[in-house]
Formats: sequence, structure tokens, C-alpha cells
Amino acid sequence: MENNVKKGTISSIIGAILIILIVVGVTYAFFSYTKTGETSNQISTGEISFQFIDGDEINITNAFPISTAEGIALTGENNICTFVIKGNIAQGDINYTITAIEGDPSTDPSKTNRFYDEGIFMYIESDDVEGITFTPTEGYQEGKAVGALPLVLGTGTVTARTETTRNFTVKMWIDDSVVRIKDREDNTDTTDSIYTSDEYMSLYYSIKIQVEANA
Amino acid sequence: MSNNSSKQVLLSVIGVAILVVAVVGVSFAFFSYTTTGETPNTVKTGSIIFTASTDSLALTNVFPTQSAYTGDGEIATVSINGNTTYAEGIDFVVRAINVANADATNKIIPTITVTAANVPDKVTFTDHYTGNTITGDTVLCRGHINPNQEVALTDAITITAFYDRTKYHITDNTLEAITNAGIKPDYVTGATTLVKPADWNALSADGKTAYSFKIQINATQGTAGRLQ
Repeated sequence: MENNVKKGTISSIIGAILIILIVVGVTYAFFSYTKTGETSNQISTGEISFQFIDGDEINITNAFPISTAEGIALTGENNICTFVIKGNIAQGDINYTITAIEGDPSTDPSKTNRFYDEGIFMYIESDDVEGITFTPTEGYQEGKAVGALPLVLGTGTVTARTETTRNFTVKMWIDDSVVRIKDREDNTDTTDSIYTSDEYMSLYYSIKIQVEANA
Repeated sequence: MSNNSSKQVLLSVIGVAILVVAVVGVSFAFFSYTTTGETPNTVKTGSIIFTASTDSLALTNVFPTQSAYTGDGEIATVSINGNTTYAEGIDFVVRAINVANADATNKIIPTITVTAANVPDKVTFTDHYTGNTITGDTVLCRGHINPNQEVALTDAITITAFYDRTKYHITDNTLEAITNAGIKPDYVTGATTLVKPADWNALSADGKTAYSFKIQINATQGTAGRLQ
């Protein structure tokens, strides 16, 4: 009984192989043609690059409240942050976001308290370049309180087909429309933006610029 | 029955998960880049400190005199401490502020004089009040502290108050009567205010105060256009 089953199985396999050989063999034998196209079909990767190049940084060590107009007008070493975005993409777009994120904690023993976010104003400007667009977040082209970190300063798109660069400048200051240094005997105002002389001199604020790009 | 339900739930969850992965997967960027600037951008505050204290004068049993009092408790003083890293320094103003005096119905305003100690290179005093009778809030003195100069001036400003004999005369007579009587003292001028003895006495009767003022000191960050 068992032998019969084995024989049957073997016969079925052999039969199937014969059928395949007959069909395929007949096909080959009946007609054969080979042709290779002259032009090759190619797939090559598209070029894409994106770079953030750090420049000058803000390092203001003796800051007092100034007006928004004075803040926007800040220039020179240690007063402004500069960086460059460089990129290109052979096809499609690269979208990028510029964000101010929390910087390093203070290592200066005399500056141990972080400044109130609403008292720090920021401003961003950029040159106009074809191939890399930039749209500042509303208000930061005119100077505006940070409010809270992380802060998106603006977004843009790289559409350049050849390598293109765009320059950026970020400014940061303590704005006198918000911050007061106030010592008086009857001072009961405990608003966050009002500091006594002692409180004021112990403050610092630190940010880093982060750029994120996606395509 | 229970097993079938569990299988259905499991299959549904797997189906949804596959669907989410499929959709999100399609949305995934094929290129991404994130970097952060290496050097932090920092703002550190400067220092600006200013404190002031006053000693007040307390004059009793006062009559018109030829000159101001100078004894203990007869002069008011202002002491000043300040120091700043702000490039324009500190400006300050010393004022005499009238105090509403319900006691005196006929106030007689004294003459105020101000003198200020001169401390070269650190503090500059300007606009010294020079003896005009004060009315309302009067600026007695302005000053400026240079940047990065620690200032600790005790009794830097001295303020006196007195009733000037050339301006006040206590009498029941009129100025004309005094003059006609030929007893016009040389200190009596046309600007003299005549006060009847009863009125003079009433000014400070029953513990009343003839006149009072407070000294107020305001300081602000210096300005490029300040008075020197």
C-alpha cells in the first residue's frame, strides 16, 4: 500500500517534468528571436545638497535694554549672528526651517539666571536670492519678543538647480518696551519683565540656530 | 465565539497599522538634514546700581533770619552710591517735593539752598538750585555718574531751608506805615512779605507745621544728550 503511493507520487513528478520539457522545448524549437535595443535605458541619481554654514555669533556681554529700532540697527562683531544656507536639487524642492533653540547654560558664576523670554527680542533678515526662498515668521522681520523656545524664525525652499547660497543675519537684544530695571522703596510690581538692579545684573540668555531640511 | 472576536480585533488592528505605515511611508522625506550652530548666541546683562539716602532737617522755633541754619538736624543731606557698566553712566535728579500740608492754611514758603560736594572725574553736579523760593516740585540739583566708576558719597548734597529776613517781616503795620515811620530796616525791600504776628504764630501753633517738603531722588540710565 505504502509502495503504491510512492510509485504514484514519483510517476506524477516525472509526468509533470515531461510536460514542461515538451511545452518549453516545443516553444524554443518553434521560434527563437533575440534583439538588443541600441539605446540603453539608464537610471542615474539626482544631485541634491544642502548645507548650513555657521558664521559670526552674538556675544553681548554688557547688555542694557534698548529700543526695537536700536536692536534692528545692531551691527558689528559680537552683535549679530550670521550664517549661510547653500543648496541645490536637480529636481523638486528642499524645504527648510530655521529655528532658534535653547542654547548652553551659563558657565559665568555672575550670570546664573536665565532671562525672561518675553524680554528678549529677535530679528531675522536675509538677502534675496533666486533659487532659495525665505519667509520669516510673522513679526520677526520687524523685531518681536521670543515668547518661548524653540522659536521658528522662518521657512524657505531650495529650488535651485545649481548650487546657490543665501545669507542670513539674526539679531537679539533686550527690548526696553518690555524690560525695566526699577529700584524704588514702594516697588510692589513683581511683573516678570521688571527687575531690580541686583536681579538684572545676574541674567543671561542663550540660543542656538538650528536648520532642518527635508525633500 | 470569543476567539473569533479576538481574531477580528487583532486583524483590524494589524490592518489599520498597515494602512498607517503605508500612508506615512509615502509621506516620508527621501532626504533630511538637521544641524545646529556650534557656538551659542548669548546676551549677558550689564550692571547698573544706584542707591540714595537722605537725612531730613527739622527746624523748630523759627524766625526770619539773615542766613541758613547749619547745625545738626538743621540741614538735609543726600548720600549717593552708584556704579554702572552702562557706557553713558547714570543721570540723577534731586527734587524738593511739596507735601500737602493740611495743618497750615497760610503756608509760608522757605528759601531753599543747595550745595553739592564736587568729586572730580566720577560725579558731576549741575543745575544747582541757588536760593529762589520753591514753588511746587523743584529741581534742586542734577548729577551724573561716569561709567565704571564706583561712587560712594556721604552727604554729597546739602539742602538748607530758612525764612529770609529780606523777604519776610513780622509786623502789624503795613510796609507803607513802616516806611513812613522812618524805621524801615535796610533789609526791608519792596518784595518783602509782611506777616502779622498772630498769623506767624498760628503757622506752628498746636503742633502744626509751617511748611514741609520731601526730597526725592530719581536716577535713570545716562543719555548722550545729558547736561554736564
